[in-house]
Amino acid sequence: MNAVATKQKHIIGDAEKYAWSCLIATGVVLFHFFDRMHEGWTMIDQSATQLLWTYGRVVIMFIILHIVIAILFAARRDKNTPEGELFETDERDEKFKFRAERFGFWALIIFVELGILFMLVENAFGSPFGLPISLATPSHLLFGLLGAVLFAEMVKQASLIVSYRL
Amino acid sequence: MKLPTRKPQAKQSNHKGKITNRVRGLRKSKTSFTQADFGAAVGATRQTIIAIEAGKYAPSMELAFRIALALNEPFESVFQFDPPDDKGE
Repeated sequence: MNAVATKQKHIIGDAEKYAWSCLIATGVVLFHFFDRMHEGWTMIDQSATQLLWTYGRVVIMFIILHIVIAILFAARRDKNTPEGELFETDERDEKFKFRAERFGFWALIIFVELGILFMLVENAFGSPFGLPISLATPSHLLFGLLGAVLFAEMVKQASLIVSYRL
Repeated sequence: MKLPTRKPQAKQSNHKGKITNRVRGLRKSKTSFTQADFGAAVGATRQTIIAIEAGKYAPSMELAFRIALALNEPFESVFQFDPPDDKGE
């Protein structure tokens, strides 16, 4: 009784295509956010109004891109797709999604905790350790927190893609 | 009094055994299902059937039973468990 384990060409399913689309969209948003907050590699100190606009633009851009992706996937739904879903999924997709969400959650926790630590260390001791990001000003705070959210989302989508490809 | 000694367990956790299957061979020999059709018959996507046949994904008990049922074969003739090498050491 020989077990079959043949090597097959990887075929990208809709769930993986969706994860790729979301990863790229979030990457574009993160790049735009980085570009708005920096001049070269130096962060620009912006006024509260400018920061509010930047925040609004980034959030709206994120929402619009994800709505566009959802519309594109909804347009190509087939008869196997359950009602209310964008594509057909099963237990494997659910398992990978659950794992990816856990990775994303822990990535967010780690980034936020590091941000809190950096902020406390900087306020307590100045910046003696050459920390990579200062959270002393609103600009830095916004960049640290919103950047952490976007990066955690990318970790989640990347983890999903890795699960499908392993 | 001498205390009983215990072998270190750390290495054993790296050898969980492996679930293998004959889904591909049975599907081709006993049915005319394509991977997509077979997936639809057992309630899984084509990608999941591909992953199961390639040995990359071990299905849940429920899906494994549904696969065996769809192939009209006893469960144990479709799925096998290769136990860890260091079993019984």
